[in-house]
Amino acid sequence: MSLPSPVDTEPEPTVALDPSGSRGRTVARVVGVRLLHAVAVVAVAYTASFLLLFVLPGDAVLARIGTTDTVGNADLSGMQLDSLRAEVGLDASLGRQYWSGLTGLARGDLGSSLINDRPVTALLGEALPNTLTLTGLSLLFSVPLGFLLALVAVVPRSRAVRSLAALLPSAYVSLPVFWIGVLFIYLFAITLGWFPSGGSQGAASAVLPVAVLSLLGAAQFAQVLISSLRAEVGKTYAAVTAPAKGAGRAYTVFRHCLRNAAFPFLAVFGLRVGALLAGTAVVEVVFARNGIGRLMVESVRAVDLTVVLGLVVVLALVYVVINTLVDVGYALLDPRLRRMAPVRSGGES
Amino acid sequence: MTRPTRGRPALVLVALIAAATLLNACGGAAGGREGGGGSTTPVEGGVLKYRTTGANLSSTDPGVHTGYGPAIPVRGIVDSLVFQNESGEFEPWLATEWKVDETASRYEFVLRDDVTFSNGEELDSSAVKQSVDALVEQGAKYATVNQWIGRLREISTPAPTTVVFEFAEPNSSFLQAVSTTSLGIVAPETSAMSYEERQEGTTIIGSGPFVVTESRGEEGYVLERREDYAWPPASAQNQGPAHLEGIEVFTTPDNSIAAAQLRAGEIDMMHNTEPVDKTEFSNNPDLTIRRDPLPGSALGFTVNTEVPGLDEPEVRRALALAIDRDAVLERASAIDIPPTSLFAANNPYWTDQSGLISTDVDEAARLLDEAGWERGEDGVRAKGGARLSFDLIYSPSTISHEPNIAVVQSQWKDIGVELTFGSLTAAELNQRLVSGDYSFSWGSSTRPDVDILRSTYAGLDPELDKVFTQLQAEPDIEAKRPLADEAVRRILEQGYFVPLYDFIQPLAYRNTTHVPTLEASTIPILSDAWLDRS
Repeated sequence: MSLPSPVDTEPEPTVALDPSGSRGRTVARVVGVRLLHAVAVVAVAYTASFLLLFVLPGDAVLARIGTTDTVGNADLSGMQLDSLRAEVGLDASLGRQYWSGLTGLARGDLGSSLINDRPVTALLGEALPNTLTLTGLSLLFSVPLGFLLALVAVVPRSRAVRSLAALLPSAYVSLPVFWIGVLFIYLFAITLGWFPSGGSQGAASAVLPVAVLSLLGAAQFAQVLISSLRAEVGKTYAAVTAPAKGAGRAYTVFRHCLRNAAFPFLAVFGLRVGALLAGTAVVEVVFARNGIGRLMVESVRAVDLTVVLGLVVVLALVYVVINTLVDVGYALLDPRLRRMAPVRSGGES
Repeated sequence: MTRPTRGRPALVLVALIAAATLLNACGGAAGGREGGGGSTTPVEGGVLKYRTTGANLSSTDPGVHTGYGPAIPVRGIVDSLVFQNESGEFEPWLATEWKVDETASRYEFVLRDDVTFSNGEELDSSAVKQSVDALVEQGAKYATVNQWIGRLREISTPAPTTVVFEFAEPNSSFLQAVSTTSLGIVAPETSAMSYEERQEGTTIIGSGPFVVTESRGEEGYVLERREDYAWPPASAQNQGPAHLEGIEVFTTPDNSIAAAQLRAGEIDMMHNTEPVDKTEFSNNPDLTIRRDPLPGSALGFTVNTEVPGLDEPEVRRALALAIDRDAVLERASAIDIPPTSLFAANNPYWTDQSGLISTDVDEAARLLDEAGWERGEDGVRAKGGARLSFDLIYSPSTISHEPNIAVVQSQWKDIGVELTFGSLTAAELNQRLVSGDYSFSWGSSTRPDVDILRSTYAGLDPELDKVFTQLQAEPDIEAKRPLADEAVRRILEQGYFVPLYDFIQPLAYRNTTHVPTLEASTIPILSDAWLDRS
């Protein structure tokens, strides 16, 4: 998938607003550039995935037959699958399929699954709420938890406490998500019986997957925050000026360093959300939950082009939205940017 | 600042694992005290929690579920015209009697007149016709089922309780086909639906002891008992409504997690078990793992005779002789058994052919020498530019057999034959099989019928094809047996199939779960199933 690099989300060189120019025109231009950007991201992601899927061996029609358990090799060779290919549109040329997919997309029609004929929008409608709940809750917990961890890794006087707090995020991030998921299941569901081990029936079933993902997000955010906080704490204003004016360490960190340290955090936030979504896919499979991650895994396996492409479009849009939010975040954090309008340099998007 | 801390993550990890293992062990010990014993008088009520694996799990459409695991709960939704009991004989079910003509091209069924679908529609000949026609009309969407149905010409309904199937060419396995869950009869309301609507989860209406009441998408679905059910097959112990109040279907993807759920009592019954868990289950006082082999064929390698080297009967025979099956079985689970035929031991057409499955490594080497295959510098035999280097392909569900395949790999290496193996997605696997781009495929047919021979080996050998034609036109089971034997002998002698072992079919349940009646396919009759109340 082609995704905007973090550089894309950095504020471009900015120019001061023409004091006499109309503010509305500038806003319109910014929005227009954003929209173009979004369309480009979706189109590139769509095209790349389409071509990738096309080189996968076999097709959805072959995938839906089943395996040698129920169909003998001789019967398999004798099957008339071309009529089904024609029916689902797999007999057309590459260019034709691509074009009809793109035009469908432009009309907002994502097509139907090649495996079970159900509309992709219906499948997305069933899967998306579950995934959004999972990622939303995880983000909700992971941001404050990440900040907390970072503060514990920087503020206390005790070097032992700081080192341990700095170590935890790296340790957690280095473990594979599925492994942690399995461990949590064995520990909290199977052995202790506190929570259901899978599914998405009832609120209790969300606890373990949200915990796995929140900790993952918190660890990732903490890693970034710790290094940027450390850098800020070492700078003259925090290391010399503030203490000289009588400010305590904690006060300096909270009042001055945290805001400055939040910039790199914001810069990677969009990417981290991407990592979180990838983690969600794994978690959904491990915890046997409905969701777009599980749908994606199953659909890629079955070469279900239309469903995978529908998912890619949705995910690309999510990225665009998050990156836009990140840019808004910059403007809110940095008073300098609030007085200026970002203008993309030419040739971009 | 964080100088000497490298070792710590590992330490934390070890501690966590230790804690988990310890807790697990405690849990296991505690679980050991409760336990089966169990009475033999059925208890009413309770919800059976069943875990399955497979593809398309959000669908309850019998026509798409030809595999064992997903078919089990679907068996509770639909009934079939006839019932194939554990010994392979056919019994009345929705049909009270049937007639097959002498060429197996015309089947006439007389239906019960007291059966209703759960939506109130009545079961009559027209409902049966619509149900089967719906599958035929969708063609390749129900590819496997239509392969079983064969070349159906027409379904006619001379009377409300009489339905006649006429075929363009003989299909003596049709009776077995209509006994399967896949050809279970659905209500006219369901037959009128599009394929897409049938996949929605709760749209399948049958006459079975259970009704789908809730779909949980890919996570499974919920079945509830039908209070007025009164038409199970004669060999069912319970002739009334199901003992169970309902069935919850789960689809936990990971086999080990599911096994842990079964041990912990979170689920009552599961399909698909890793070899190590199978061994453990067979020793666990709380659990039962069934010891019936998959009822189709023994597991092994199906040979592509178009591949250079494998087109020579001597080479194929040498490959079969070079396998020491005891060594292969040592790597399998403790309950798998040596093969005794091409058929698994509980296939209705099984006879003991173990004389044709033997090990003689020296003879294997001699056969290859004689055929002119000489060892090259890399130790692999070659002749005229062709090397005895083969690949084996299979679907991901076969991955648990890889340790056993590796044993074959090393045994073949000793006689100068190279084997590579790997799993492929269903799409790629079928593509390779269709295009003939493989040396061996994994043979694991599950249909308890003689037709698995034709379905796999048709078109290889004119002599075999002759037997298959005779088999297809022979409606009488007793008359089919000698023909089946002849085909099996021919396939084993010619080395079209290299049997490895009989795979114990992977249904496991807690001792509190009782499944007294099984079909020939070893699918349980769910109206008979019951749970001990703890």
